[in-house]
Amino acid sequence: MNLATPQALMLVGALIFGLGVIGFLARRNMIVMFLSTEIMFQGVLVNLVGMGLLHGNLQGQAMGLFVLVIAAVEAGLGLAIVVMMYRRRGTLDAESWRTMRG
Amino acid sequence: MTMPLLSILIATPICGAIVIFATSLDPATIRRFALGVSLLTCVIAVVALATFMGQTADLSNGGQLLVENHTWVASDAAVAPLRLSYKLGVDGISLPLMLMTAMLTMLAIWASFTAIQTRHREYYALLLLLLGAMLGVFCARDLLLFYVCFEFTLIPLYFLIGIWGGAERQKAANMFFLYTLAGSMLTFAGVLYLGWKASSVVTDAGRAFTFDFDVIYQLWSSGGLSVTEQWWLFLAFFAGFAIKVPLFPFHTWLPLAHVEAPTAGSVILAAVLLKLGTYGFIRVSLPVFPQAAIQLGQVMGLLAVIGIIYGALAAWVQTDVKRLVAYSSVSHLGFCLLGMFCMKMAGLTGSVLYMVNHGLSTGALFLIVGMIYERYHTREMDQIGGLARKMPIMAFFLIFFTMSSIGLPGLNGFVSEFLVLMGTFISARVDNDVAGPLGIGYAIPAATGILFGAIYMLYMARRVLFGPLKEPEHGFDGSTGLSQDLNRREVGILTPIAIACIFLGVYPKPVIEWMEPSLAPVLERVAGASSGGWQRATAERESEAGETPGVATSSAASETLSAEIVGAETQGADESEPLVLYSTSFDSEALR
Amino acid sequence: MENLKTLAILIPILPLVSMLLVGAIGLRILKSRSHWLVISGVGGSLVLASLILGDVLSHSARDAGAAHVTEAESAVGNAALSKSIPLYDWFVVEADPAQGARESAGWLQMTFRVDQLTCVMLMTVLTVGLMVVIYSTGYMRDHHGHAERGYERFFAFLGLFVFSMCMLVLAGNFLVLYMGWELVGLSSFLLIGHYYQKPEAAKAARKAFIVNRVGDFGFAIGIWLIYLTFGTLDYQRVFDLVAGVANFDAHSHQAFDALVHSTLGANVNPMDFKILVESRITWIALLLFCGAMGKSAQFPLHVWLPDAMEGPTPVSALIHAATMVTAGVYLVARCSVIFASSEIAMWFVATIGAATAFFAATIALTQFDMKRILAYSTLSQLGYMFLGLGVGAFDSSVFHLFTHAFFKACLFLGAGSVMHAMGGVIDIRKFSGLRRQMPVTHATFLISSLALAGFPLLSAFWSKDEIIHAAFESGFPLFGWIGLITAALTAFYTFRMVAMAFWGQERMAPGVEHAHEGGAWMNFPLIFLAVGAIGAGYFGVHMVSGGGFLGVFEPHGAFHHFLEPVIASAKGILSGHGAEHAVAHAGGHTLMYVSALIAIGGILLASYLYTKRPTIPFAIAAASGSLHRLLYNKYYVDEIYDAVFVQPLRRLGRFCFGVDRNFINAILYVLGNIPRAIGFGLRSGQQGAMQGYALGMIIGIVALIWIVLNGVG
Repeated sequence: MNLATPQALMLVGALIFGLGVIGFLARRNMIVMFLSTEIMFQGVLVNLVGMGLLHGNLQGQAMGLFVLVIAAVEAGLGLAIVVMMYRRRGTLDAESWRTMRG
Repeated sequence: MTMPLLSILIATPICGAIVIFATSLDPATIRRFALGVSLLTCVIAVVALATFMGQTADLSNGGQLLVENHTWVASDAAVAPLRLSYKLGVDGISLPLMLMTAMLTMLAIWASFTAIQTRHREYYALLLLLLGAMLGVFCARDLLLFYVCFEFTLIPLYFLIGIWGGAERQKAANMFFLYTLAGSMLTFAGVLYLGWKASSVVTDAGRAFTFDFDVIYQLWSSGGLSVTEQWWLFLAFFAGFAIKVPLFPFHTWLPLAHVEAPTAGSVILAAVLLKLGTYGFIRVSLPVFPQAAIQLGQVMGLLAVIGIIYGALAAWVQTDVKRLVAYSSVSHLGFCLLGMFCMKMAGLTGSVLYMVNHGLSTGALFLIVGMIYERYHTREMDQIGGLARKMPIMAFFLIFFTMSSIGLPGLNGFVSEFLVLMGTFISARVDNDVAGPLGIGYAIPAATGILFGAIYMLYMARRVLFGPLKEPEHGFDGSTGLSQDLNRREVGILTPIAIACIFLGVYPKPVIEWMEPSLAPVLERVAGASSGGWQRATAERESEAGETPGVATSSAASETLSAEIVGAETQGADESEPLVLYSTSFDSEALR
Repeated sequence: MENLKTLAILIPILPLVSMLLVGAIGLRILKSRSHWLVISGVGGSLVLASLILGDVLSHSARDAGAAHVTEAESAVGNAALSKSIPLYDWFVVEADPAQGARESAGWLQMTFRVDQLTCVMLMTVLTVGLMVVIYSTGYMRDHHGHAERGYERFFAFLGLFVFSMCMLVLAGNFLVLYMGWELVGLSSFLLIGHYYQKPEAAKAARKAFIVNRVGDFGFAIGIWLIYLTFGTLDYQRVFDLVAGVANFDAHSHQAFDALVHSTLGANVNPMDFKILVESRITWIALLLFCGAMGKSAQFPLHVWLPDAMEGPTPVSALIHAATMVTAGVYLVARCSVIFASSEIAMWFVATIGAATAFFAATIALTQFDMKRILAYSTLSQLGYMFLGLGVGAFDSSVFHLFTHAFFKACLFLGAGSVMHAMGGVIDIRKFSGLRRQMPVTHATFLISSLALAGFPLLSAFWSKDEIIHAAFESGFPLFGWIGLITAALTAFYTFRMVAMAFWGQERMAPGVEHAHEGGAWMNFPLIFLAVGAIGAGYFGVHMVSGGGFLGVFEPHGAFHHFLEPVIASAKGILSGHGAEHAVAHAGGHTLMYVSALIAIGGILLASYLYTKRPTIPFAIAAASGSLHRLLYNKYYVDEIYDAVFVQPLRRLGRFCFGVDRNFINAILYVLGNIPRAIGFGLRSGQQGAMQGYALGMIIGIVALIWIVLNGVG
């Protein structure tokens, strides 16, 4: 059985994305939430690879590499923000940042 | 390749603004630089005028000159060919307004030298941006460009009022911004609809979604707009323009904005920004929706007359000089609209002249009020009085511009007021088989405006200038280096305006001669639109010798008749249908 | 012709230039020498006006020598004598789009017109103007010869006034007339407000301008109606058309048809046009008369003139007695053709004139302020002029205007001298017996008073008598009786004033030791004008070898013949209406003797009562109680206006402002708060927790996907 089918890759991507979503919704710790978004990112990435496979070209994988680089940069920025937020409140609980409450 | 004079004209102040923003000069340099840039703009405007006058002999096409046309966005897509253009040009209507704008903005900048003591950089940059946008409105020959500039003027003025204004500046700025923006949103819907309808007009370049005025002007003559459409579109544009003018009962933002705005803001607001509304009426509403304009003419006339009297009476009971002048603007702008909707050459000419004249005299009055305010930090007539004793030069100018404002013959106000009222008076007369919608019944109540004008303006002059000397307790403030009476700079600001007032009052012929060829096409369209229902209704009215016929009968008659015409034309020629934008079944028929 | 044009242009230009120069360099350089510029400006204009007068006189003589002007020719107009001088195109009302704007046809022009009436007015205005300017150089100084504050300003405005008045009388169409009309209003405003720090002066200035504007409101509408009817504002064309309509002859109207076609265009039906004009001419005349009522302070727009006495006395003399206030008379005389075409308008003018003449005279009986007495007397005399106009004696009214200018200016200047000497006090109860210390003032004042009272052989005797005579002939003798009664009142109140101020026991105003004459600058104009008060009347009478008044004098002299061409067509129309106005004064001498007796009687009675029995008038005043109060308070007209017009309008204004703030803004507030309310409703959905938003997003996306896959249904 060939697991490297587009369907399989997309299924894996969807699973990883779903895990990320659940992690993001369920956890209160901001670092964990941030990691969850990274996981969602990876899910989309796997999906892209699957798409490339579906179309039979390398554009999906090229795009995937591109997204990886963006994700790396974004992770740096995001973590920096998390650090700043920790310094402000002294806690990583997302509940402490409800200033936009209507 | 001629020089793109108008582009340079618009670009100069904007570049100046960018330079001021980008560099950090000291306040004195910024002032001088801004004044220099605005002076340069003035010079360019005068050069444009000279070019215009040099070419008057071969005026054609509505007297449009110095045209620049560049395609801005062009899509050859099969579904919706899009042709947005950057098209500029001046004609006899916009030229005097353009000159007035350049001149008054320069003087307003000059007048801010001592009045503005904070945030110089932003202030002068915003004023220059505003100047660029205003010139853009008057030069635009493309509806979208017109609209963009029209709206863009809001932003600098919002900040000018909100940052450098008086005590209630935030409220005033918000009200001004939201009120005018709300109206303009409806106008924007109208703009888009017109652009879409314009795609039914076949031009040399084929059919396209375009906002070019010249194409839009062909809409009515090619039967592209039904009377119902005209009504809705007229109302959509009315929303934006009437608030801007401001026409009764949409005027309440004006006194507040005027009172709170810094002097330069008031001057520009009164002199130019209000004119954008009237200019819009004469540039868009009248020529593009002539039938709706005629049918709604009586309503417009009524609102204008109410505005004239209402504004005048409200001005009379003010104690704040600036609010008094602001209400006088409401009254004056009523005259402006009255002249427009009388559908006679006299009224149209008078109306455009009125725009310029009101700009000059009211602008100058605001400048003087600002000068008093700088010295005494109050505008309350209860606190100041008898200033003629201490400020004779100011008294001279105040009396002068008061007289100009109340239409003393020999000064500018008279010519336009006389023409407007004359036009209204003869409106119902049948010339070339066409009668206008207004008449004596509108002219006489409006003429009370000249009486009330004298009452409230002289009331103000008497309380501020005459009587025993009265100063606020803190007295005259010379901390910014002002002298008790006007100094040379201030005299230098007011003198050019006074000269322009005398010139326009004694010899307005050249200006009128610029205007006529540009106004004639507007009038012809209106005449063409009314050679049908309106005229017949008028004939019936005259035969009945009744005083005022119901609006309903006449407009209904006209509507059915023109609907027949339009209907016949559209049935006969299906190519006048606008392009279908989002259709799944597009094919060669729609494309051609 | 070119020569005449230059002259006509220079006449207003000279005072204007002098005014501008005083304005420019007066404060810094000229200071108390500013008057020289204005004197030379006005004097120069006077010389030029005399040249024009000579020119017109020679024309008149030539035309009189030529063939006799027939009735028809005079009806069509006096084109041969009057000269329209177009200067330049002012602005356009409606150019034919087909012709383009560059054609001169549709333009309203800056046009002057020079004819006999213009000459009379110019000479009057400039002569009196020059005298008043000379007088002012003395008056506007204190006893040590130092110029008052605002000396330069005063002379600059005098120059402005003379300029404006020249524009008014030189105007060749209604638009330029309106311009002059408003400009004299401005000068009057500025000069009344000369002592602007006095609240009364500031109020009076504003009141004068605004009451005038009330009249001008009607005047402007009249002008528009003229344009709407005749398609032109040019005097000559309008008058020709009106005369053509009035003299319309159903049997031979080719000339009229041709006139209509040439003036209004070939597609106008002359008959329709005739009907149109006939339906509107009364309105036009009445509306024009509104302007005249405002400017000439006729009842009910007279309220500003007495208050205008707050201005410096020379201003009262020049503007509010001799020249500007007579502009209304000039207007009606100028438009005599229009007025003559409407019987209602004529009747209205006569009624207003008679009413004003009588009521103003009664008010003058009770006042104590010398200038106010003179102001009411001016109203009354203007009333006479309008009475004369209304009964068709246009030339007599202009004649009265001419004589009145001299003696009334002289009276005001005399009052000014008294005021100058008494340190600003003008109440005749505060001083008396000035004749010994102010002999020149007394003599000239007495001469002018006699003239005003209608003493025989002085100027006003001739002119006033002509008006009363015409009033008796008008077919409505009540006008004549009112004229006679008013003449008696005039004689009485004039000599009441003379007796109280100059005669009787010598008594100075408080704080004044000794009364001074004003010096040569002030005395020369007084003497000159007093001579005018005696002599001006003789322009209007001619000598006969027997049968005239006192066997020598016959009314309707050179003055009337000179004016004849201007009013000929109006006279023609009036005689066409059937009301026979005999030009000759047949049997009129009886009236002249009667009015002479009345005048002398009034003078003697007042002199006797106020010098010998001063208690009697006070007793009468006390006895008449409420009637005296009514007169003393000027019939409460000011108070009525305040209650009926001013206060309700101000209340309306406050109401409007209230509507703005409380009603319109309230609606806006409600409208503006609708989005806010919606936002408020949705607010609870915003918990601020990141994960809440994320959950919402995800639910939304899932829902969207589900819809895309399965459709909404």
